[in-house]
Amino acid sequence: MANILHADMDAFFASVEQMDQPQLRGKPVMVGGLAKRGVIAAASYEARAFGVHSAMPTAQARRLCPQGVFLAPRMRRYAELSARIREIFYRYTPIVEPLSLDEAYLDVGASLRLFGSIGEIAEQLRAEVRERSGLAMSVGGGPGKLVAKIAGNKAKPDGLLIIEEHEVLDFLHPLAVSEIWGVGPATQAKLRAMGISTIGELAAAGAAELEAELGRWGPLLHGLASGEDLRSVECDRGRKSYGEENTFPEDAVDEEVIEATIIAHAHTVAGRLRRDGRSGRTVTLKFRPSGPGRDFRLFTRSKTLASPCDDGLEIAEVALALWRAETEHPPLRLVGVQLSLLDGNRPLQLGLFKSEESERRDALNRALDDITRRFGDKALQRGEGSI
Amino acid sequence: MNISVGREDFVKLLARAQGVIDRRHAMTILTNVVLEADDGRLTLLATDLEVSLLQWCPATVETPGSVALSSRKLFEVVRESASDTIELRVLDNLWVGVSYGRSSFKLTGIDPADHPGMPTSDADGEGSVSFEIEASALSEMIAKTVFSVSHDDTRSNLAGVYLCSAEKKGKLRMVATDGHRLALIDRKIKGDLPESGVILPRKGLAEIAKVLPEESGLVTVSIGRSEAVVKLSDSVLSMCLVEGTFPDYKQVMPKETPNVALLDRDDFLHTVRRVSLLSSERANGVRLSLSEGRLEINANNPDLGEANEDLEIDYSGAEIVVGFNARYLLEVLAVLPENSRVELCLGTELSPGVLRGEDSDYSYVVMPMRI
Repeated sequence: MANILHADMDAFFASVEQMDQPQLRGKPVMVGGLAKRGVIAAASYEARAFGVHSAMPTAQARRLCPQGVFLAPRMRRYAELSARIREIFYRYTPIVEPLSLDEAYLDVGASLRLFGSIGEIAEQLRAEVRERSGLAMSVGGGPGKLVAKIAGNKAKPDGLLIIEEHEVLDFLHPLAVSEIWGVGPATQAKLRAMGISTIGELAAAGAAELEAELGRWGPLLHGLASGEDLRSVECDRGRKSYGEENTFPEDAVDEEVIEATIIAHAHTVAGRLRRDGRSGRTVTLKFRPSGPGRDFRLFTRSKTLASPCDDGLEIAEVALALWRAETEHPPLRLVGVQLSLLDGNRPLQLGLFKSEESERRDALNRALDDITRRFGDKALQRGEGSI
Repeated sequence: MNISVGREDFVKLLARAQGVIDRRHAMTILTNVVLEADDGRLTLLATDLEVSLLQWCPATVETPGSVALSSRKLFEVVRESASDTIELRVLDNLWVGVSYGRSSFKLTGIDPADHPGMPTSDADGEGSVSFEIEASALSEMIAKTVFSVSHDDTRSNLAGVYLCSAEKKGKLRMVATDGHRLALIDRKIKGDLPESGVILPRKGLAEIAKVLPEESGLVTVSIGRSEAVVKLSDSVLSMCLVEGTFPDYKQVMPKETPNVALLDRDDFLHTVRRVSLLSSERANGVRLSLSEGRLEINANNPDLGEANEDLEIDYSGAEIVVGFNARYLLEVLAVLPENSRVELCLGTELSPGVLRGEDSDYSYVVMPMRI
C-alpha cells in the first residue's frame, strides 16, 4: 500500500525571496554564500535555465548567469516558514521526518481513513501549504521512502506524483541508478563496470555479485531496486536531547566571548525546550580546544539538576559553572550547550515551594516566548553582558 | 567479661542495633556493637556518629567487662539459638566465646577503647529544652509524616522532619515535605519546645519508630543546639539535627480550597491503587475528575492501556479535573484509619490540594501533576 509521502518545497530559499520581494519574480535568483568560496544553496527555476544548480560554487554560477540576482540566505525567515509548513504536516499525521528546512517524509498510513486516499491527502497538503505560506511544494508518494522521493523529484515543479504498489517496478526500472539516494559517482562507476546503468539492470543483477563488488551496500541496493524498502519514517518523538553549538570563525581566546557564547546557547536551548513543552535535567557543556598538541579532542562536562529545567538563566549558570571549573583553557574552536535526560512534556509534577524568583522567571519566559512567537526571534535580544 | 543473657532480650536489642549501624560506613570500627556488662545489666551501643542507640537488658554478670564485635555476625549467631539463654565470655586475645545449648562460637573481638563510643551530647546541656509525650502519640506523629521526607540528596534541608511548636499552646508540630507534598501533624505534649524549629533526620526517627510500639506511657525528648535525644524505658536514642533552614511551610498551606469532596477512605484507597496499575511507571499519574456526587479516576499509559473507575461521593463543588502522583495519595491514605471519612479539598488543576481525615490536627498538602 502506498502510504509514504515525500514533500519538498520548490527552490525553497529562492522562492521565499521571490515571494517577499515581488520585483524578483520571473528573474533568475540564487541564494547562497556570496564570499569567495561560497556555494549556491538554492536557485530559482529561472536560474536553473542557465545551468545553475544547488551546491554549485557561486563563482561558477556568476559566470553562467551574470545577470542573475545573488542573495545571502536569511535563515530565520526560512525557518519561520518551514515551521509553519511543518505544522500543516502535523495536522495530517504525527509521523513526520524532517530532512531539512524544505523537505520531509510523512507516513500517512494511519490517516487514510480520516482524510481520504493518499493522492487526496497530498493534494490537500499542497493546497494548504500554498495558501498558508504562498509557496509551491511538490509531493511524491509511494509504498516506500525511495519511491516517494524519486516520484517527488519527477513531479517538480509544483506537481504531484503517486506511485501505487503495483506500479513500483515499472516506475523504477527504467530510471538511472543515480536516482537512488546515495549512489554517487564512485558507485555509479563500479556499477557501470558491471554493465549496470538502470535500476532495472540493478534488480536483475545477482545480490551476491553486488555484495562482492560493493560490500554490504550491494544487497541493500539490490533490495531497493527490487522495490523492497522497509525503512520507516522516523519522527522526532524519540528525541533525547536539545543542544546548540557553534564553531568559531576564528578560534576564541577571549573569556568574555566564550562566556557570552555559552550564555547565548543556553538561552537558545531553553527557548526550544519551552517551544516543545519539554524540560531536561542534565546540562552538558561541550568544547573543543585548539592549538598545538591538543588534536581537536571534544570535551564534555555535565551536571544533573535535581529537577527538570527549561529556563535559560538556570542552564546558563550551570554551563558557566562547568566552564569556570574547567582546567582546559582557550583557545577554543567549538563550544556547545546541551540539555538531556528529558522529561516527557507531560505529565509534570508541580512543586510546592516555587521560589518567587523562579516564578518571576517563569512569567518572564512566558512573556519572551509569546513575543518571539508573534514577532520573530529578532524582536527581543538580551543586552550585552547579561546572563 | 563473663555473662549470661536471655535470648529474647538479646535478639531484640541486636535487631534494633542493625538499623543504626551502617555496614558500609567509612569507619569500619563502627560496624561493631559495643557490649558492656556491669551491675546485673548488659548495655549495647550502636552508632554511625549521626544516630546513636544505647540499650540495655538484665543479665547475670559473673565478671563485668566490655568488648566490641561485629554487630551483624553476633546478631546472626544469637538469632539461630534455640536455647533460652546465651553465654558470653571474653577470652584471651579478645576472642569472644558465644555459646548456647550444645553450640559454641568463637568470634573475633575488638578492644572497646578503639570504638569512639557514644558521642557526647549537648541535648542535656545549657539552652536545651525537653518535653514529655505519650509514646503512642510520638509513634503516630512519625508514621504520619516520615513518608513525605525527601530522598533527594541535593536538598538536605528536606531530609528530615521539622519539629516546632504548633499555634495552639502545649502542642508539638511535626512537618515533613519532599517539595511535592507535605504532611503536618499536631499533638499534645508536656514541657517546653525549642523557640525555633529543628530538623530531625529521617533515620533517627525511623529507628525510634521501631522501638516506640513496645513502649507505654510517656517518653522524654530533649533538644539541644545540635542534637536531639529520646529517652525510652530500655534505651536512649540520640541523633544529630539536620542542618539547614526548613522551607516556610505555612506559606504553602492553601487558605482557600473551595471544592471539598467527602469520601470513604477505604474506597478511595482501593480505587486509586487499582487505577494506578495502568499509570506510567515513572510519573505514576492518575487523573481525578470531580463532578456533582461523583469522582472518576483514570490512568493511561501509551504502552499498556488505560483504567477507569468511578465513585459515588459527597460533592457539590465545581467540575474539576486534577492529576496527581498516585503514590502521593496512597501513602497518606495508608496512614489514615480504616473505615473513616476523608476530605479532599481542591482549588484548581494547578494549585495544591489538601487531604484531611476526621482528625483536624493532621493535614496533607499535595501538588498536582500536569497530565
